[in-house]
This record gives sequence, structure tokens and C-alpha cells, in this order.
Amino acid sequence: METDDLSALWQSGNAALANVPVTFSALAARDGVRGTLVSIAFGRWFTLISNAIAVLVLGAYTGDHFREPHVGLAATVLFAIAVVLLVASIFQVRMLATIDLGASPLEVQQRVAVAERVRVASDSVVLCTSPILWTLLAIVGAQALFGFDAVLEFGMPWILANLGLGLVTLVLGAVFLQPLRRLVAGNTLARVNARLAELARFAAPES
Amino acid sequence: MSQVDVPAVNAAAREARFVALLEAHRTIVLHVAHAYARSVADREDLMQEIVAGAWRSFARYDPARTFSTWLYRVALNSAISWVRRSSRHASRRAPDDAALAAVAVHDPDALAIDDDVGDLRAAVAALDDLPRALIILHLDGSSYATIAEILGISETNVATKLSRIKTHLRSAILRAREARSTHNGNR
Repeated sequence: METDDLSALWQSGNAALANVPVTFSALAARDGVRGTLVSIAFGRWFTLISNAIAVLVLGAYTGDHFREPHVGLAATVLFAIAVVLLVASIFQVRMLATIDLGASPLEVQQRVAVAERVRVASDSVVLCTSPILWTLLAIVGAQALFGFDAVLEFGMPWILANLGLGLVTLVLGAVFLQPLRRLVAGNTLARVNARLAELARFAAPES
Repeated sequence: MSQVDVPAVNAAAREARFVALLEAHRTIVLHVAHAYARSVADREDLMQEIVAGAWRSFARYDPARTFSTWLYRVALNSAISWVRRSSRHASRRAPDDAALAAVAVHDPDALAIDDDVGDLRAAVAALDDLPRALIILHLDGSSYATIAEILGISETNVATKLSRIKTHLRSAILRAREARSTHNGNR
């Protein structure tokens, strides 16, 4: 089959579309088209706002308890992680908010994939370190809510119990929830990286 | 003297201009929607998505540039995002060549098309999103320069990739024909 035949075939198929009834004015008049569209998924804004609140709360708490043993250290680590997550979510929202659909599909897909990689990487790190983060949160929470240093009061067994609880929850989550399992195993990150490689191959001149 | 809401008038004029441009280039939206979505419901969904994307980006459209090039970009971007988002749903996932060939012939939603057109559409639908965009632009009659401009790659790259995709399409169509003749022979 010759190339011209392919074009002729395609266009004969498209000729039937000339009679497809579509009223663009009706499509444009729908609510979604009148500027009420949310271009960025609600989840990403929610994550950004949650991270900003975490940074504010942990920042204030860390400032007040910086010199206290155990609690000060745990709060500082949590604060540092919250700052990193906030930066990552700002980056994602900025990448997606500035997408111009009038740009080339290659450029748009690369931006989407880069933002996705940042999201998946930060989700994976948080998930894989969640037993440790949970323990640090329990230390800070015990002091903030009940006013006592749990490490001093209960010692190493309490820390190990919390680490164990976090680990068991993570393992159960990964066993029963496929998205969690993919994140922990690195499959989601591998998928996003494969997409970026595919886009790079498309952009690169072939020999 | 009656008061005129100038921003409202401007917005209405802008929307009217947008709809007029869209109507004048309706085939672009229809062609892309039909190339990326199979069922009537999916096509309507995708067309709505393209129109919404176009309206949202219309403020950034530079009238000094060709509207068709801009609309192709918006339509392809919307379609690729739509396909990737909806690929989680089995009903919208691109099936393999054989399944697509069968669907193209037997899908009650499909337009009345002959076997060869159905085979070509099925083979195109089985391509990855960006190669599919490239071949759609070519089959719609765009020049290499226009395709390069729309997709953001070099003309040489367009030519090389097109050559490979066309070879792939030819063999996919031949395979579908053979499968159909075998199937008919067995009946």
C-alpha cells in the first residue's frame, strides 16, 4: 500500500465527519468553558496548602522547643522534611499552572512528566520513611498535646514500638493497596521515568 | 443614558470570536477527537475537553500566528492528556490491533466506514500518543514544516519518523486484511 493511499483512505474516513452535528457555541456555553475550570487537580492544591500549614505549625513549634532534647531534634527533622515537601509541591503546581495548551505537545508532555516525577518521588520518599516519620510525629505530638517527653518517660521500647507499628502499617498498606505497593516498589517512579525517556526519544533526531 | 458594561461586552465579543474561529476550523477538533476516542460518548467528552482547553488558552493566542496550527496544538495536547488520564479505565484503553480492527467494523457507535478505513484507524489508534499525533497531522494533509512547528521537532525528524510509522501502518493493515480473509474463509 502506498503512502498516498493511506492519506486518501484517512481522508475518505474523515469525509463522513463533515456531517457530524456539533454545535461549538453550545459546547462553549457550558459552565466549564466560562472560566470556571480548575486547571490543576484539586489534590495538588490541597497538598500544597497542607504542606504550607505543616511548615508554619512545625516552624513555630521548632522555634519554641529548639533546645529541648529529643523533642527539639524530632521537630527540627519534621520541619526540614515539611519544607522540602512544600518546595516540591510549589514546583509541581507552578509547572502545571504555567502550561500553555498552545505550546507543542512534546513540551507540554515533558512538563507534565517532570511534575509527575517530582510528585511520585516525594510520595515515595514519604511513604518509605513513614515508620520513622510517624515515630518523630509521635514524639512531637506527645509533647505538644500532653506536655511530656515520651522518649524520656518511656525510653527505647516506646520508640521501637512506634517504629514497629509504622512498619507494620506500611507493609499491610503495601499488601492490600496496589498504588502503595507500586510506590514502595519503585514501579510508579520507573513508569514516569520511562515516559520521560519515551518523550526524549521522540524529540531526538533518528538516524 | 443607559450604562454599558464594557468588560461584559468585551467578554461576549471575545467569546463570539472564539466560537466563530472554532466553527471555521471545526474539522480539526472533529478529526482529533475521532482519532483519539472511539465511542460517541468518549468523543463528545474529548471534544468538550478540547473546546474547554482552547477557551482557557485563547487569551494567550497570538493572532499573528496561524489559528489552525494553534488549534491543532491545543487539540492534540487535550487529547493526549485525556487519553493518558482515562487510560486507567479499561473501556477507554487502546486494545491491540486485532481487537481494534474488530471494533472498527462492529462498533455500533462507529461511523459507517469500510474495512480498509477501519484497519487504518485501528492501526493509528494502536500507536503511542505522540507518533499518533504525527501521523494524524500527516494524513490530514499538513506539510512537514507545519507538523514540525506543531509538534516542536525538526523537519528532518518528522520525515524520518513518518517513514517508520508508515512502514508500521502498512504492515498492520496487511496483517488485519489477512486476519479478516482467514476469518471469512473459515466461515
